[in-house]
Amino acid sequence: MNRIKIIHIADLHFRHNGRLFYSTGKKINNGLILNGHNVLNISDRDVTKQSRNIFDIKGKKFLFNLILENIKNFKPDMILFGHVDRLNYLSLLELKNKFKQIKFAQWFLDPLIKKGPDYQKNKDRFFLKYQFCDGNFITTSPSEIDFVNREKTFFIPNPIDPSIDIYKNYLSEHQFDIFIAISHGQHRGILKKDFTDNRVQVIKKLTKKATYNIFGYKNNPVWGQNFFNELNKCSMAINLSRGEPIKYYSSDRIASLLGNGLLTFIHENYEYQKFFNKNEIVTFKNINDLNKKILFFKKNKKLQKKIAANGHKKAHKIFNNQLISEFIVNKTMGENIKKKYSWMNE
Amino acid sequence: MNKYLIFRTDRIGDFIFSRMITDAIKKKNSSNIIDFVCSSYNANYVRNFKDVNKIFILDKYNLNLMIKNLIAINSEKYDYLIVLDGKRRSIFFSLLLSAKYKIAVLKDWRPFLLLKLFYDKFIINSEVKSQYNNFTSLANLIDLKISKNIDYYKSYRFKKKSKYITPSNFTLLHLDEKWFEGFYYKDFIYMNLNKKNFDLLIKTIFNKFKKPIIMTSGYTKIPILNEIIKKNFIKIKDDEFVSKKYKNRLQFFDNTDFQDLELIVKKSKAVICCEGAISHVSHSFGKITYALINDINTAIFWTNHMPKIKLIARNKISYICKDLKRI
Repeated sequence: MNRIKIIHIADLHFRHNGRLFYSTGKKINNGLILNGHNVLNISDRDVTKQSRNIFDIKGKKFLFNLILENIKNFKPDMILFGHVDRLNYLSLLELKNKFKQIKFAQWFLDPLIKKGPDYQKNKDRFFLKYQFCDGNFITTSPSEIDFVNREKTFFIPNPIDPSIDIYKNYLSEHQFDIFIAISHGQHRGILKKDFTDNRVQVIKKLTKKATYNIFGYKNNPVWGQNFFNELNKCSMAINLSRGEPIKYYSSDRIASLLGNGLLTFIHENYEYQKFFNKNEIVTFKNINDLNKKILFFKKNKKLQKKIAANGHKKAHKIFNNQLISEFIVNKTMGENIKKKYSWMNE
Repeated sequence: MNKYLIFRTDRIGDFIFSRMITDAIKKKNSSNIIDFVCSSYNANYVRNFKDVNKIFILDKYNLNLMIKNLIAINSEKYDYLIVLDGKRRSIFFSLLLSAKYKIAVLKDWRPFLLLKLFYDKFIINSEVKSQYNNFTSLANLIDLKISKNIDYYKSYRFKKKSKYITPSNFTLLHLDEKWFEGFYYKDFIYMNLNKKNFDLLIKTIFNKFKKPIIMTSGYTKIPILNEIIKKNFIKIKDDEFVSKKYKNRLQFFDNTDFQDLELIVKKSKAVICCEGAISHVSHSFGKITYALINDINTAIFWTNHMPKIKLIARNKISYICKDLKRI
């Protein structure tokens, strides 16, 4: 493994005062550092928030100049973008033109589903950087997206960070059966008024015979350590994502559910069966099937804990942040992938 | 069904390259309508494609025609207006045109303010990426998918008959103005082809391909080429010459139009030419193509979509001959 210099431009949420300390950007960043790379961070949204002025209303010029200066001083081998929406087409073109020897890559976590939420907006955000990137890493299967070149676009799972996802819920008894957390955007933090989506329809139809700890429906989502405190009150969780299920796409919350030892239910159309067997995760076909399985595992505690423990072990092994970060670096730099897991071939 | 208006007022090679966009438009929905704004130079050629519905001529010196076309185009109510040529005349003219979605490909001239005001999106045909990738980006912005295997001649009306009679198996040497200094870009490297080294080039081609050679040229009359013809060829009939030295094994066809050239390329086994329209045509027909290119390092910008093309750096004829032997 060659150790390289990386500028990681992604939102590290300094302005959220620790509320999103478990963000995917942070997990990838930790993975890069643990792999021995020299990583320089630019938290783009924090920079623009603090540098707005009357001549640079959105702080974009300041951010671009800051990136240029950082590149000139640090001389990175690779620039990794997260959800960087503060650079426009011309800025990216200039970066690529000025620094031809540097490899560019991006990770992108939002759904790129035609029938899903914000498709055009997400596509535009992703595609803007995609045009200039040598490697693009998405949490949807590239085979489901018709506008990407699969030679430079790869699937990555939502990463689990052993320093963040530290709990093993299967080891103890809990106050509630099921944990459900949804939100209307992690930056916003609180729910939008009069907004509903497919996830709420699922929640409304859940069996009343189980106990639930639900956030993001009727009450606001929980963040920061409170998120983990509430998650720790439950033995099982339903992974709900916005939009129609599409191959491999999931809200990044799945990493917290699997990574902290909850028995996780996921719709079979996400095709997570390719990564986890039935002794590691529970898939369901529809709401009736889900309700049946919730009641089955509520009664069969021993099996519930066993599957949760297996899922936790497997998830920490194959969705590990070091592994995913190394995959990003190796694919972008054109190096061989030593450890081969099924998701790496998707 | 959507209506598209595409500006392509430049060279024929550029139009052929743009076929990837028209192909994607038709693949998305075969009833989509594609109209073109062309120059009077390339309009006659563009007319040969059956999937092009209407052609408007853009002539900056003909104000009457511009006004007439302006009214005609605005009455068509286009869904998409795409300026592919990046020419000033096209950008300025299109500012006055209405369409639901306007997009432009820019080259060196980049009027960002105008584009922000009058266009939805633009991309820059920069050498940071290949031209093929730039066009793929453009296609994505308007929800089109460019296929990897494009039939550039789909729905094309070939010339039925050509007056030029070719042998069954031959190599085409196309000597257009791009070979000769003073007729193309000033900053290009030129091949110093003249009546002294002409025979070296011909011998190399004979040795390499072991086939008769047909020689053609472009529209521009080149004095050095005329000298070469005068010294080495005898006129046998209108626009047809045979070599004094090699007889029928080396012929020169003069005054070929582009459609004649297409038919000749189609019948050939291999083609040697400067990178441009003929190399696109040749590659489209799956011929062995040797294209002379100014800078091999940036060649991918022009030829990324033609994976089988063999590239030779523009250089003095002696080097070209060495490269021809080697590749």
